[in-house]
Amino acid sequence: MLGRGSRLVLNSFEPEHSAARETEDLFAENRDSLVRYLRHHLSDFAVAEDIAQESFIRFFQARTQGEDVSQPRAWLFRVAHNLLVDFGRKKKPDLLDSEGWQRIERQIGGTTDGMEARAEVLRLPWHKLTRLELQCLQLRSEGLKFREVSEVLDISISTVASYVARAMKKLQEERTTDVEASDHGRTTPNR
Amino acid sequence: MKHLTTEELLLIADGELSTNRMGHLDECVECRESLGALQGELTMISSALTAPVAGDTGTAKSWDRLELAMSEISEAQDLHLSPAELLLLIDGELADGRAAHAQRCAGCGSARADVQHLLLSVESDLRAMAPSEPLERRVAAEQALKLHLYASQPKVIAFPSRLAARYAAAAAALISVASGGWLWNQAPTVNETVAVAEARPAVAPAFVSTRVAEPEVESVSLETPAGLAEVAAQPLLPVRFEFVNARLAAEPTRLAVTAAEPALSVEASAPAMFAFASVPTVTLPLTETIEVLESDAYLAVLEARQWQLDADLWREDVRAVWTDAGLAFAGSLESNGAREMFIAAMERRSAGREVSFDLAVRDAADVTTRSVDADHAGTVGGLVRTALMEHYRDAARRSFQPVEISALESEIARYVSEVFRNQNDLVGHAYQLDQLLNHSPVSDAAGNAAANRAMADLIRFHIDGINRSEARIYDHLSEALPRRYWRDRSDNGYSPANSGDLGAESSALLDDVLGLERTLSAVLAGSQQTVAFGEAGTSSGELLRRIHDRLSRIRQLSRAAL
Repeated sequence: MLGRGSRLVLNSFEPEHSAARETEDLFAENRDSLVRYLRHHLSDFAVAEDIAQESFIRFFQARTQGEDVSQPRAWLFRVAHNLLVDFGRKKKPDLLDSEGWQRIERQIGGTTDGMEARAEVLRLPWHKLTRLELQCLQLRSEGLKFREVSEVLDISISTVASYVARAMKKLQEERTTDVEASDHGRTTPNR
Repeated sequence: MKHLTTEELLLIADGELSTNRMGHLDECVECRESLGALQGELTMISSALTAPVAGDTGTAKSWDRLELAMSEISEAQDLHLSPAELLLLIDGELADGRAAHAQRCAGCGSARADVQHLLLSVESDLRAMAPSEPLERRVAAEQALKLHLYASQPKVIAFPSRLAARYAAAAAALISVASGGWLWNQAPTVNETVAVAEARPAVAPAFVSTRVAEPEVESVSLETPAGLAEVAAQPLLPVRFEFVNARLAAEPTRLAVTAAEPALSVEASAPAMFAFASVPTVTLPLTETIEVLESDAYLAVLEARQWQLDADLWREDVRAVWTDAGLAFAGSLESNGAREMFIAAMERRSAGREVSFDLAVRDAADVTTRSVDADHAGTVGGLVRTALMEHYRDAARRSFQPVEISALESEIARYVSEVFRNQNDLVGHAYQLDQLLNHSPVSDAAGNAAANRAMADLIRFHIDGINRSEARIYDHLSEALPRRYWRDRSDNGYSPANSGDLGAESSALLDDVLGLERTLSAVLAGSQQTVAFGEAGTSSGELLRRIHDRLSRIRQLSRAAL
């Protein structure tokens, strides 16, 4: 990543130069989270990367034009979420198809070796969650506060808490003991 | 009063619930337990949702792409050059489109001339300037403190005779210390003959615990091509620290293996850790004795270690242990005052539990200090000091302060001290984490929830400390130094191998942290002592990236394991 040089010198320059630094900071702190959030809803990683890039570019443009962004992280995720919605407008707004769930569950299963405890997570009935429930849970997992999640999804804070609570309840209610059986069951999501 | 709902508990965890309902939490044990369980469940689910994504091409490539887009936008909007772009322009690395802006913009052209003039003039002034005595002493004192962290009691070797044959065969090659666990896991390099060199004991660190027991000396049979040879195996300091001792020692250390009868000789290549060794040596694999405790004793030890964290005494060379008399703290401290303070702090937190103390006081006269190499002419340290001088001179100029070399020198000393202060913490946390995961007692019963929570808290403390220190070092370097002095120079996309084992990753992390220690000393203190560590000339930027990446894996592994 490009070095930032002297902060004192940075601060003395014109305001638009801070936009590059802010964008760099925001990128360093949120890029992985953002891509992860998008990837769970898209079959193509490249599209997730493109949407993430576009989100950061829009932030940079907004700041160079003097737009005030008080909560950059929530702002960024909101832009990305809206771009995601635009991209997937043809899909049902609150349901994921079986292919989507299989992709999510493969991703949630993870690729890191040696994490045997993850088998317990694989047995969770992810397919029982609605899209909004999953999104609230995802955004919360990525470190966003409920207030920020409410801004991203344009719903109230209490609604966010309700969705997260509902999602956790669903995940806790049915934990299959056999991973193969659960995989078979998930090919037809229960709605 | 009605218990809190799940939604309300979640809002509490987020700091969003109203105060009148918060009051119920203080009064209701059941709700507090529910909150704890809920947070644990949420943590588990979050760990699954935040696992690395398959197919990710990496942050660096993603940033390169974004940077290009931002540059195009800046060019289209004809924005002034940022300070980073000015430095790139001076280095001749700025894209043509942006460089063209400097040619037509009087303000940016003037800024470029200013920066260039400063770099040239200050570098010539500093070329023959030696470091100030306060800086040298400060750095040397910090080095001595860090050396204290590296000191480790010699381990008693328990060398299973049943494995002698296996080890004897492997003794024909040079075997380096296992990066984690109890077994050596680095691939040996086998050659034709074995050289068992007469060795000298490793250089003792500056701080030596006075309670170290005399190590037992065992005799081991080595099977060589010429037949069996009896050798006396002496305990060794952990090899991962030995290269640090060797770095500061006058001559490289040898491993303590002496042959009863000289055997055949072999040309065995030294592994990277011993690149400075001039003669081949043989290392015997050690079987470290790890204590197994009953679950209650194990939990008591973990809780006692938590007391040290709470009292901010985790940096001390003292560790909670379990003895025949019960819970005890053993180790050494710098002075009688420190010893009394430690005992008082632990007794306050023991809440009446019986705790004994076996604490030695180090002799201040044993503290050694080493001078930083004063020759800065044309060295990397000299160029970095030039950059630092420019940074502070520019700050002084923009605040309309007179430029005084002595004041700027003080700023440099303060800056270097800050970097090394954070480096001290980084080393301390990495060392303690490695001790916790690889050299601490284990429980005889798995699945103890309280013990797992305690261990998780201890691990998390050190992980957070490493993360914090690494981030601060990164911020310091990026604040005042141009990228070329410290950036990640690994163009081949090097990525540390993921062993999937928590202990192994922790040991590898400590290796990287100690490598950063050496590199920062060379870069910021102008030291001439450079020892090959893995690839030659590993930059601070690359080491910071390795530490950051490996720490992420350790965090994931610890979440899964506990």
